[in-house]
Amino acid sequence: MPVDHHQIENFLYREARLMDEHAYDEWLSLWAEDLLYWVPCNEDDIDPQRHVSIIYDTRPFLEDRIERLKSGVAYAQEPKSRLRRVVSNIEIEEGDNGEVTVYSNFNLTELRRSRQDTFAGRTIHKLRPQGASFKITYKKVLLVNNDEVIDNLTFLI
Amino acid sequence: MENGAPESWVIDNHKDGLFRVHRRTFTDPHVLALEKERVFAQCWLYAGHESEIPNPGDFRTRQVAGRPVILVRGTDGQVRVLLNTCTHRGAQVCREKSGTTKTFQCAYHAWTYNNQGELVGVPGEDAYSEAFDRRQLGLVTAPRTESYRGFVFVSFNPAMENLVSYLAGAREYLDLVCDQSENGMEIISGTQLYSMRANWKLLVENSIDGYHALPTHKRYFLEFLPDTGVEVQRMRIAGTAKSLGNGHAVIANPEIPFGRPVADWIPAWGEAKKAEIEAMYQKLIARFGAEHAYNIAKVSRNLLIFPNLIINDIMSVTVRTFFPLAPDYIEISAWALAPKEESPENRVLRLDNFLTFLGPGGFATPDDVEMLEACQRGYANVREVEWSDISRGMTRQAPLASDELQMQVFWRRWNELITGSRPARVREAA
Repeated sequence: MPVDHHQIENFLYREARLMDEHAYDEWLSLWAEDLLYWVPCNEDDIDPQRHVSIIYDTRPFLEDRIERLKSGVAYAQEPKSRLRRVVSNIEIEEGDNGEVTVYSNFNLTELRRSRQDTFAGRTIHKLRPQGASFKITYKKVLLVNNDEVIDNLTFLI
Repeated sequence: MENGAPESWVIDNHKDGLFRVHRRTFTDPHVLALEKERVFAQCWLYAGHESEIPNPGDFRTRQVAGRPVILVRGTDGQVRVLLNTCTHRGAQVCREKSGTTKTFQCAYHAWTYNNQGELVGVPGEDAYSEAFDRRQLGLVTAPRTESYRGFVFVSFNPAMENLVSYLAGAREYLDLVCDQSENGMEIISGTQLYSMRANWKLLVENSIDGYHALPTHKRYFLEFLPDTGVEVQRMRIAGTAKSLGNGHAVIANPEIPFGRPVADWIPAWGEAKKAEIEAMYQKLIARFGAEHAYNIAKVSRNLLIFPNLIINDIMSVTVRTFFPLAPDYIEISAWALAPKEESPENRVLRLDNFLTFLGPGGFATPDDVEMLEACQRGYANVREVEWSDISRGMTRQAPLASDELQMQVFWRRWNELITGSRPARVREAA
């Protein structure tokens, strides 16, 4: 079955909206059981098992990240950031068994406590078909500023 | 005092057991100017770790007390901290973050220095007079550079006492960190960089503050750790605080059940790891005896080396230093420290422990940042609300980690350096 590019783009847009709107449970439901969510530190291509990352979550850690954000005591997101991001420059690479690797760029505006910040980067998603949609098995976020000071990366990127 | 400063910055009232700090110490640009001269240009400051530059020619550039420096191991094997500015017209001679080199060549006019800082090449040197002596124009080193067990410190005061004597009682606690390895500790590749719109002294206080752990990090201690299989009844923070001299202080907390790769097992690591971690502990007992081994492996510690080095040997070991760019803004560099011989599998456990608590995407650090920024915002009321209270446990014989002795120790030393007087002013608290 040929890959439906439009469907994949819509999946990414939906994921972006769920992150922007802090829809934590719905966002978590997009992920496969065996997941890896990774934001490298300092460089885009490091070995996360030998180099410090910013985020390197397997499922139990990502679940806890979400529970924390929902708890009301994750003070770094109480009050929450206002977020809107644009996802673009989507390129799709087809793999085996309908799996796809999707490369995209994002530009994210964050507003919190009267201060507006911009985050930008490239995201690599690995998506596995499931039913009529996909599950995310792997997501790596290459922040433009991953080798600069960051004051708070508590919201979802 | 000048600029309408209060008559004292610190109230240290032993009689009544009250300790107060004036909030202008956190907001006043004049105080920051004094700190740059009387604290950061005097004290020993952490510049890096020898393991970051293991081979001759290895270098890393960074800032120490606002100064761009090159931490470099010369061809002669010696570790130096070179001030990164060409002695000709000032350009930074090294414009890379890290690498290996025999020479640093200034890109502006091609003056060339070897990796020991000596000026070895000046294009068109025949145009200079006889008085021009390139032997005197090498890259300038920090006036003092000394190491203790791999930790490299600099002082910008040529007359500073030697490092070991400066470290005073903190040395014993650095040893407890270093003794976790038979082959030496190393900085794990990678630097977490984050910022805070708060005064640097707030992060000093916060890094050694047992009192805040449960309120600020309630979820980590009361939900995240229990989710990993830790019994909630083990969840207590019942340590002690100690002054180590020269403004250094430590809090030490036995048996917090967050797991320590050397060597305190937790259920989340699986039964298979239990024997291995226990064997590691037994080996420490064989090397050091039961008491020292217990202190290395089962007691976590938050160590302040005055003024701005924090070594928190907790669920993972973090080395953290920071410098104020403004009264209300700092940038922090944080590293993870580990035994060189650690297995790849245990290194992963250590990094998981590190990332789930520490750094801009961690489950604890961002909430600390939020609290400290909230303090800084609160200080806009300084004209009406002048003093912060840091009296907790002041009259207790053996202060607890949840007391504030360790902050009093910091502030007394800070006050001595800033005011040039030995003891802090004693007066009745308002």
